[in-house]
Amino acid sequence: MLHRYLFAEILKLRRSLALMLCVAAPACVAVLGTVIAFDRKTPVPLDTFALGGPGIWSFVMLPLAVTALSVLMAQMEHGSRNWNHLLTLPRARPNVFLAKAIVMLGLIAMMSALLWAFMLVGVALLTALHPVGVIGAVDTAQLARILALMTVCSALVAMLQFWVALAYRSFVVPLVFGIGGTFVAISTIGAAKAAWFPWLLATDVLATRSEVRQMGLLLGGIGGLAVLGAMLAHLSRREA
Amino acid sequence: MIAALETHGLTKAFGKAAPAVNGVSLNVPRRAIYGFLGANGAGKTTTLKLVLGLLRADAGSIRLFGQEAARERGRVGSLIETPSSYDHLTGRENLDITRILLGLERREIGRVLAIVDLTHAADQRVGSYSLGMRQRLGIARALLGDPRLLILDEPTNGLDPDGIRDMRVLLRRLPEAGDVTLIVSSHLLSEVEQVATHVGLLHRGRLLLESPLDALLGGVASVEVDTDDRVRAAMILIDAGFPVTAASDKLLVAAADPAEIAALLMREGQRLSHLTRHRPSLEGIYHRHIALAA
Repeated sequence: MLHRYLFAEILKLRRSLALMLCVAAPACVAVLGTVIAFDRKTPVPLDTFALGGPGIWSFVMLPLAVTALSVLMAQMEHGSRNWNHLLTLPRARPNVFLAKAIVMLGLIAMMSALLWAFMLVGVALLTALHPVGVIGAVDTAQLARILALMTVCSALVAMLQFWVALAYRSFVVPLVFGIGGTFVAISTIGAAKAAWFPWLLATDVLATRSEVRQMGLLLGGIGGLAVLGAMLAHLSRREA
Repeated sequence: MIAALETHGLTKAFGKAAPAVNGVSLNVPRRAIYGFLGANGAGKTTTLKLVLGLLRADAGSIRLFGQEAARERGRVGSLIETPSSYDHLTGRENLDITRILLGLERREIGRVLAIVDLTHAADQRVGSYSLGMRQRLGIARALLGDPRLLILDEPTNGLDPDGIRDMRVLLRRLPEAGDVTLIVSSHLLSEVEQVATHVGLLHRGRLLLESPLDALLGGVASVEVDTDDRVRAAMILIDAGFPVTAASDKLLVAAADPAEIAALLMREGQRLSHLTRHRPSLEGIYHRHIALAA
């Protein structure tokens, strides 16, 4: 039965703002990085350029994109009270919520994959067109691994954000939650405990200390699964 | 005959407020068009949400087709409150989502589109639909899977006169298509009167009345009459044993035969200016029961 709900969720994304966001958010990061690199008067070190994308991504754009994505996906149902229809269908609970969460995580993975591709396009453009040229090379496998780990680390914040977005009919609550979380993350970066903050877990992948990287992965991944379970238990018992 | 829907003592309260639904016992016969009446806030939508499992009852039971409701909800199609849809998708894509979830064949979409007369607009985005088209799409979605019980909550809400007429025609047509029972909640009494076979009247969470519509409207035969001397005419009729009530500027006489009333009054020298068989309206019955409840 879950597979039907998954197909349905994927079908709902056709021509949706959520899907557009998934292309636009990583594109913004890659375009911004590339434009800045083109402005350099010295040769562009490609490895630094390539790592700059995941940096901006994990710190600012990923939390904001997760906020917007969760709101857009939840509002598809809240907006015209689709729950009144969906939850009357056979075995809707908890399948509909689980399918949505899986698709949400899939879209975050897709954004990471697109960022990887867009950064490589940036590398190609810089190599071909930069007035003073480039130096070094990009380790595409390492870039892919970093972005994949960031996706795992972001599971906790994604599930927290999605839970709030699904629980509240108003889009204001999840927006404030997400923007507030991102703001706190920016304010506390560099603090000793900041590495534990859910909105900053994806940045742990770039940490030099391996224990911080492992903590980010464990807390983000296992925490995400735990929150998913709690969300399913809560929303499945909830009245429409 | 097993009822399509039976509820017993259905009760639901939100917080510490008075129950929105209070001990409601419905009995909806199969193949009926059941008009579920009540003012806004009477508890109609809450009752229907309880039937559909969208809300949990504080007390009472629900049986669908003689079985526990949870087992039979797959045979129920519904349109609750507003017609829900995904505006960025076409009508056909909207139906496809429900079709996938119900595990139906693709041709089912064409069938329900034809029933609601929306085939021509099936490939337009729902965002460009009028409210009437959205309502019809909502009904098409409720019809997917050929449900035995169709629950439509205020399906004429917000429609213009043409839309209301089209909806009336559609509602009449639905039970003809097969073994379908229809529950239509509404506060538009005249609309319900034109389509319903049975009615239930809800007021402040309580069921005041439940009856076949024919029995309700045909139950009290009366004649509306007016003469040049209304007081004298009333006395003549009362003396002859007919109960008489004043109805605005006319007399309402509890009698089946207008000719008998006319002959009596004319024999007594009364000049008739108005004589008609009075058919009670659903609106009149509604207001009488609400007044009694108050």
